[in-house]
Amino acid sequence: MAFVRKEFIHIFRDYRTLIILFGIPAAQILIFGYAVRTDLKNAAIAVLDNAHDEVSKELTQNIEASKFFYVARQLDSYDEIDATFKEGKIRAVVVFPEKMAATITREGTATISLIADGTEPNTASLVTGYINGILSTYSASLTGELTATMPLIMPEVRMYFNPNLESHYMFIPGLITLILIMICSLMTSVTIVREKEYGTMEVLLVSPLRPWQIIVGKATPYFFLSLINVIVILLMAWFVFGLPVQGSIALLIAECMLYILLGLALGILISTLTGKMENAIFISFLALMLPALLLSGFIFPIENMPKIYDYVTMILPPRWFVDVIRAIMIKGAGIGYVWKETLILAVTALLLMVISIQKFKTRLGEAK
Amino acid sequence: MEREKVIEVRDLVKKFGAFTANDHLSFDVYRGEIFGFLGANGAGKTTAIRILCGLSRPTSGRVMVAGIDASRRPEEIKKRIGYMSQRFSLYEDLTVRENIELYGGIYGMRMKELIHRREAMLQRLSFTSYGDTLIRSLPLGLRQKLSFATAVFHDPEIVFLDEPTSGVDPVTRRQFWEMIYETASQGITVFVTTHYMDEAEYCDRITIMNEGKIVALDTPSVLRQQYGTATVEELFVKITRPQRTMV
Amino acid sequence: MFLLRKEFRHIRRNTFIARAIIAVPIIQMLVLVPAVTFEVKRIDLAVIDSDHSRASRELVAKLSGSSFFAVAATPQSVREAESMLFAGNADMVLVIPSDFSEGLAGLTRPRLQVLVDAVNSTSAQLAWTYLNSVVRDFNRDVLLSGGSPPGQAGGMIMSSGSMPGLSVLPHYWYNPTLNYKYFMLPGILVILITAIGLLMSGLNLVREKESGTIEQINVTPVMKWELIASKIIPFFIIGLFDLALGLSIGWLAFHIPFEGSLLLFFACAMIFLVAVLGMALFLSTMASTQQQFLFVSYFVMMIFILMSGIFTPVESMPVWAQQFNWVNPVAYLMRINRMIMLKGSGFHDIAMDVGLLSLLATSLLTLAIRAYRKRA
Repeated sequence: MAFVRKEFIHIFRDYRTLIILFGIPAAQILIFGYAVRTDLKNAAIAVLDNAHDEVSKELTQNIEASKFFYVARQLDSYDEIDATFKEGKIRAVVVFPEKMAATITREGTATISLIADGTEPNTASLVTGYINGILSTYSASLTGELTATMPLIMPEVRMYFNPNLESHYMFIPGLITLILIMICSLMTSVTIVREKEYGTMEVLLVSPLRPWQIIVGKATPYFFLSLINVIVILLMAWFVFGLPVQGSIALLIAECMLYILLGLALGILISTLTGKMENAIFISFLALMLPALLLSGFIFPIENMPKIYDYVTMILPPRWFVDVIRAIMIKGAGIGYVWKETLILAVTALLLMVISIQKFKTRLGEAK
Repeated sequence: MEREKVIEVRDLVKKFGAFTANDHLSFDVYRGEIFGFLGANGAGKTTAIRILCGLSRPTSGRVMVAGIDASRRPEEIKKRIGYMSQRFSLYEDLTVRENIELYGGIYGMRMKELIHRREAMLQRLSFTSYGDTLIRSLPLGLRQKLSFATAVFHDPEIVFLDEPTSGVDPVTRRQFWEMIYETASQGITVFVTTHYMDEAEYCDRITIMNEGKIVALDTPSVLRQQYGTATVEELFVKITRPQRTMV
Repeated sequence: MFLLRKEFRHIRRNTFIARAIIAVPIIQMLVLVPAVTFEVKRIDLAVIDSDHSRASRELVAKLSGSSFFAVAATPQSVREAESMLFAGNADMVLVIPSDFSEGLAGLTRPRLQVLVDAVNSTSAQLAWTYLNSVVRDFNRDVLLSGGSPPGQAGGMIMSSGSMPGLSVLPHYWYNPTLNYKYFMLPGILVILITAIGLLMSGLNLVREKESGTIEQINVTPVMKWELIASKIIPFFIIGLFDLALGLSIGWLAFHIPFEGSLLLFFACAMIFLVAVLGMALFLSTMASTQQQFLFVSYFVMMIFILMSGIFTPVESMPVWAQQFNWVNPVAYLMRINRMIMLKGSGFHDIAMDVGLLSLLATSLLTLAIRAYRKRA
C-alpha cells in the first residue's frame, strides 16, 4: 500500500526522530538499571559521641565498615545537628549517650539515639533499619551466651521471583509500558495533527482512500517501530541485566501487540480532539505520560496509594499492562493468570478503535 | 541623468559546500523601480534575496543595499527594508491591528504615530471592518494584501517580495499589482520574484536566473526584441530550456 | 515591548494553553502527590498454620494487629500459597511449622518460613523489615515472660530495664511521621515548572520556525536579545505563577510545612527557570519540527528528572550519575527545594548549590543566545 510506504519514508527521512525513537528506550533502561536505585549505598552519617569509650569507638568503626554508610563527620554537641542537616549532606546522626560502656556493664543495656533526616522518608527508614541491624549484631555479640539459651523465633525468608531484590525487575516491565505509550500514542497523534496543520491531510481526505485506510496507513509504521522497540528492550534486559523472559515469549509479544493497538487508537483519538499540535502534545503529555509513569504501578505500587486510586487507575490501560508484562516476564505466568487483564485491554482497545474511527469520520464530514 | 542605485551587486558568490547557489551575480537596482527577479525553482532566487535582506552572508562579492554593505552590517540593512516571504508570515492568532502594531513597534515607531498610520492604512485598504478579526479567519487574498501593506508600513527604502502572489486569484493579483505600483510611485523600490510571467511584464526591468547565473537583464520589451519572442513567457522558456533538457 | 505583548497575546488567544497553565498544577498536585509513595500501607499475608497452637495464633494476631499486615487467606499447602503469590493474591506467605510451639517451649529453636513476592524489591524489603520487627516484639514478649509463649499464665515478668543489649531510639527530624507527601511535594513542584518551562517555551519557538513567521521577524532590525527576552519572559512568569499555585495547593490541601524563606525559595526558582528556558531555547534551535523538539525535550527531561534524586537517594547512584548531576539543573533545585521547604535551610546552607545553579543558568542562556542565529 503506497500510503503506508509514505509514512515509513516520513519516519526514516527524519533521522533525528529515529535516533530518539531508539535512543530513548536504551537510555531509559540504562538509567533505571544503574542510576535509579531504591536501595541505599554510601549514605553520609555523622556521629555525636558523648561517650568516648571503647564501645562507642567500636560501633563507629562497625558503621564505617558497612557498605551502606560512611562516617562523614564527628559532631561535638547536640546543637550542631540542626545545622548539619540543613546543609543537606548528612542523612542521620548517631548519638552515643555519656558513659555508655559503663552503663552497659552496670545495667546490661544502653539506649542510643538515632536522629534521621526525615525529609526523604524512604531513605530515613532504610538508614534506621540498617543502623538497627549493625547495633543488634553488636548486642548479640555482647549478650551471646544469654540469648543462646533462650528460644527465639528466627524467621527465614525466601524472596520469590527476584531473589537478589534487584530493582530493575520492577522497572523493565514498566519501561516497556511507558515507551509503548509514548511511541504509539504520542507519535501518531502528533503526526496526524501535523498533517492537519500543514493541510496535507485535506489532500488525503479528498483522495479515494477510505478513512480507515488513512488511519491504518498512519498507524502501521508505528506499530512495527513499537514492536522493534519492545524486542530491543527485551534483549537489553536479557543481555545487560540478565533478566530473561520467564514465560512464553510468544504470549508476551502478543500482549504487546494488543497494547500497541490500544496505544495507536488512543493516539488517533487524541488527534481528532484537537487541531493544534501544541495542544495534542499537551494532552498526550498530561493524559498519557504522567499517569503511565506515576499511576500505573510502574514505580509506585498502587496498593500503597489511597484507596480511591485503586478504582481510578482501573481506567488506565497501563496499569493492566504493567501487571500482565510483569507476570509473564518475571513470574513466568501463562495466559491462565493474565486472561482477565488481557480481556480488559482487548475490550478497551476495541472500544478506542471504534470511537476513534467514528470520530475521524465525523470530522471528515465536517471538512466536506 | 544617472539614476540613484539602491542595490548594487558585484560578483556575488554564495556556496553551500560544493554547491554554488549564486555564481558571480552582478546587477544594479535603481530607486523607485520595480525590479523583477525570475528563474525556475532552484535557480538561486531565494538565496540571493536572503543575502540582500541580510538573512544570509555572501561567500564573496560586494553587496550594497541602501548604501550599506550586506556582508558587514546586515542588521543596518534590516532597518531600511521590508520583506514579504512566500510563506504567509503574519501571526494567525493575532488580529489585523495587533499584527500591524507588532511590526510597527519592531521598527521603533511611536505608539501615537503607529495608531494614526495604522488606521489610515486600514482606511486606504478599506480594511477597517476587519481590524479586529484574527488573521486566521481572513481569506487568503486579503491576507496577502495585508501582508504587503505590513511589509511597507514602516516606509522602507526597498521592499522585497518573494513570490507574493502564489495561490492568489487573478482579481486579487491585479489589485495586488496596483498596490505595488502605488508603492513604487512613492519612491519605494520594489524587488519582486515571481513565477507568473504576465506579472513580469509589469516590471520596469527583469532579471532571469538559471542555475545560479544571471542569463538576461533588461526591460521586458528590450529582452523580447532581443530574443525575438512575443511574450516574456516564451522568452523565459527559450532562455532556460537548453540546459533544462539535458537534465 | 511589542514582541513581549505579542507573546502574551498568543498565550491568551490559545484558550487551551491558557487553561492548561491553571489546570496542570492543580491536577498534578492533587492527583500525584498522594499517589506517589513507597510507603507500604498494607501487606496481604497468607498464613499456613500447621501448628494450630495458642502461640501460633498469638503470632498471627500480633501480625494482623499491626497496621501493615492483613491476613488475606489461609491456604492449606505451600503449593497453594505459592500459586497465590503467583497470581498476586498475596504479597507474603507465612509458614508456621507444626513444631512451632514446642520450639518456643524450649525444645528446638522455632523456625518460621516467610515467602515474599519480591518483584518490587523495595516493597519486599520493607515488608520483610516490618515482619521482622513484629517477630522481634514477639520474641521480646516471650523473653519477658520467661521463656513461655506470651499470655501463658505464670510467666515471670522481667522489667524492660534489664533487657540485655543496646536499643536504638529513632527520631525523624523535619518529618517525624515520615510522611511521604512532604518528600514528594517539593519534587513534584520541580517537575511542574521544568515541564511547563521547557515544553511551552521551546515549542513556541519551534512553531514559529515551522510556520515561517520567524523569518519575517528575522528580516526586521530586532535585536537578538530582544527576541530571546520576548521568548523567555512570558514563560518565566508562567513558571513562577504555576510554582506559586502549586505551592498554595500543597499548603491548603496537604498542609505541607514551609520552614524556610519564601523569598529565597522563589529566588532559587527564578535562577532555575532561566536555566530551563535557556535549555529550551537551545534545544529549539536544534530542532526543526515540533515533533523533534518534543522528543528531544522529553528525553532530556526524563533523564534530568530521574537522575535528580526525585524518587531515589542520589548517593546510591553510581559515580558517573553523580557527576552528571553537576550539570543537571533539576538536581540542584530538587535539593534546594526540599532543604528550604522542609528543613528551613538558609542561604549560607545552600550557597554552593545556588552558585553552581546560577553558573549553569548563565552558561545555558549564553549557549542559547549563541546558538540562536538571526540568519540561516
